[in-house]
Amino acid sequence: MKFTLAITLSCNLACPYCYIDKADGAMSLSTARRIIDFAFERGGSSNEKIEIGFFGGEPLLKFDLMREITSMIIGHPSYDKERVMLSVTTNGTIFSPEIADFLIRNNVIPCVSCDGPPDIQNSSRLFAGGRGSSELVEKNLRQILRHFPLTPVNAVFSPSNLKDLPRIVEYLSDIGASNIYLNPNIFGRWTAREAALLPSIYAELGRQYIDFYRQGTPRYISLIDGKIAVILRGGYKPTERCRMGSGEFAFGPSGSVYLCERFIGSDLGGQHCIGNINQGGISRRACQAEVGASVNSPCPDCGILDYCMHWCGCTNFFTAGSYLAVSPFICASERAAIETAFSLLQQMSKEGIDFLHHLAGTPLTNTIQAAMQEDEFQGKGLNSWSKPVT
Amino acid sequence: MSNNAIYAEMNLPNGGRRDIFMTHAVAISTFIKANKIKPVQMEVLQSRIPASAIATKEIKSSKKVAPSAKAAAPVAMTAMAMSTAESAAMIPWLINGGMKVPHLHYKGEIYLLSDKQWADFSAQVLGEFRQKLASVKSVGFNQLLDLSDAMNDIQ
Repeated sequence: MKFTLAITLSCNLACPYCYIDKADGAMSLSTARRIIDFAFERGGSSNEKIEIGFFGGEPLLKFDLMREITSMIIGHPSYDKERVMLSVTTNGTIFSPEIADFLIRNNVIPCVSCDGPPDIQNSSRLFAGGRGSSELVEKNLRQILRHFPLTPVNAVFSPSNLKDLPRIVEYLSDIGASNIYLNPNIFGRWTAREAALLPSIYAELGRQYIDFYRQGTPRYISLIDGKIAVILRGGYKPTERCRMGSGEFAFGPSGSVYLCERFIGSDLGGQHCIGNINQGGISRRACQAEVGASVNSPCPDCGILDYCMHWCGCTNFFTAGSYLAVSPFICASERAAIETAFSLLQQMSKEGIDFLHHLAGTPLTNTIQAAMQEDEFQGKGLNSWSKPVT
Repeated sequence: MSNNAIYAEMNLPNGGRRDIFMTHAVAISTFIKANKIKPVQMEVLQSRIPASAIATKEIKSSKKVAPSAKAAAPVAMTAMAMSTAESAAMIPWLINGGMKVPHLHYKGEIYLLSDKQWADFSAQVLGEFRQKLASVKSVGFNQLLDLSDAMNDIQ
C-alpha cells in the first residue's frame, strides 16, 4: 500500500510540467500523525509492504519537518521495519552530509528527479529566477549515488526531447545511475508524429540495455525491465496495477486525501479529493480505476492487454480526460515498449542471459542489487542501498 | 479449474510462488511429464548461501557461460548437480526471494531444470507471447473514445 505525504507545496524550481501548484506552508505535525495512524491502520490489515513517501513541492526544503515525521513513523507502535519502506522524492538541488546521514540511519530511499544532460535539464528544470539547475543537480546526484548506488532517477521527457531518450540514458548512466525511470510529460502535446517515432527510439534504448549487460554493468531502465518482467510473469498482478483510493493515497499539507500525488494540485480539494484526514478521513467513494477496465473499444480484444499499463488512472486522466481511458500516445508507448522488451528477451536468451531475476520480486533490480551485495559479501562494508557517510 | 485447484498453496522457504508458475500451470504439467523431471526433496532446499557468493564463483569458474554474459548472469546449477545434498546446499537465492536456478513449481512440488530444459521452456513461454503480439490492437489518434457506462467517477 502506498501513502504519499506532500509535506509542502513550496519548491525552489519552477518546472513547467509540474502538477503541483506552488505555495508556501507545510503540513502540521498533528496532520502528519493522523496520516501515519491511517497508514498503519490500512496497511496493517494486509500483508503488503507499506510504502510511505515524502513528496512536495520539494520536501527537503522542510528537512526538519521530515525528520520529525520520520521519527513519528519509526516510533509508531505498529512500525515494522521489514514491512515499511520510506522514500523521499527530491529535485536534487538540496543535499548535504547531514541529509545523507539521516537517510542512511532511517533507511529512507532517495528518489531524484533529473531530466538528463545539461541542455535538457536546463530547458525545463529551472530555478525561480530562470537559472538552470543542471550543474547543482549533477553535483548532488553524483554525491547521492555514491551514498545510495541504487537511487532511482526519474527523467521526464517531452515531445521536444523524445529523440534524446538514448542520450538521456547514457548521461544518467555515466554519472552513476543504475535505476533509471523514464516518464512522458503527461501535459505534453503528444501527436501521431511522436507516436510513430517510438518503436525506433525504444529499439535504440534496447540496444543500450543489451550493451550495459554485456559490459557487466546492467542498468534498470523502467520502460524495458518492467516489460521483460511482465512478459515472463504472464501479466501485471492486481497489486501492481493502479489502486487509486483503495491501495494508494496522497495527502496534501492540509490533510486532504487525493487519489494520487499527481492530483494534489493546489491542495484545495476538488474533483480528485476523497476526504480530509483532519475531518474524518475518507468521505467519498474510491475510484474504480484499480479494476483495470479500459473503456477504449480496441482494448478488450488486444492480445497484450494484460501486459499494458492501460490502468494508470492519473496518466489516463491527464492524457485522455478519464481515469479509465487510454490516450493514443500511451497506447503507442506501451506497444513499443512491450515489443522492444520481447525482442530483447529473444535476443538475450540466445546469449545465455535467462532473466531469472525478473521472475522474482519487485522492483526488478535483483541483478543490480546482487552486484551491490557482492560488494558487501567481499567485506567492503556496504549495504544494498547506502554507504557510510564519510 | 482454478489456479488454486491446479496449484496448491505451499510453504516455500522464501514465500509464495510467482505468477509464471500459475499462468503457465498447464504448460508446466505437460513439460515436466514430457521430460520426466522428478520433484526435488524440499529439505535439500533449506540451506541458503548468498546469491552473490555463488554468482561470483559460478561466473568465474564456468566454461559454459559466454564471456559476454559472465558478469551479468551467473550460470544456473544443473539438475544433475543438484542431486546431491552438498550441491543442493549451494543454491543461490535472489535477495528478494526465489531460487536463482531454473526451476518450476507445480502442485506443491519444485522441479529443477537444466540450462537446456529452461531454454526449451522459456522458448515455449515466449512462443505463446508471440501469438498474443499477433493480435495487438491500437487506440488511434483519430478515434473517438468509447466511454461506456461502466466508467465510474467520484461522486
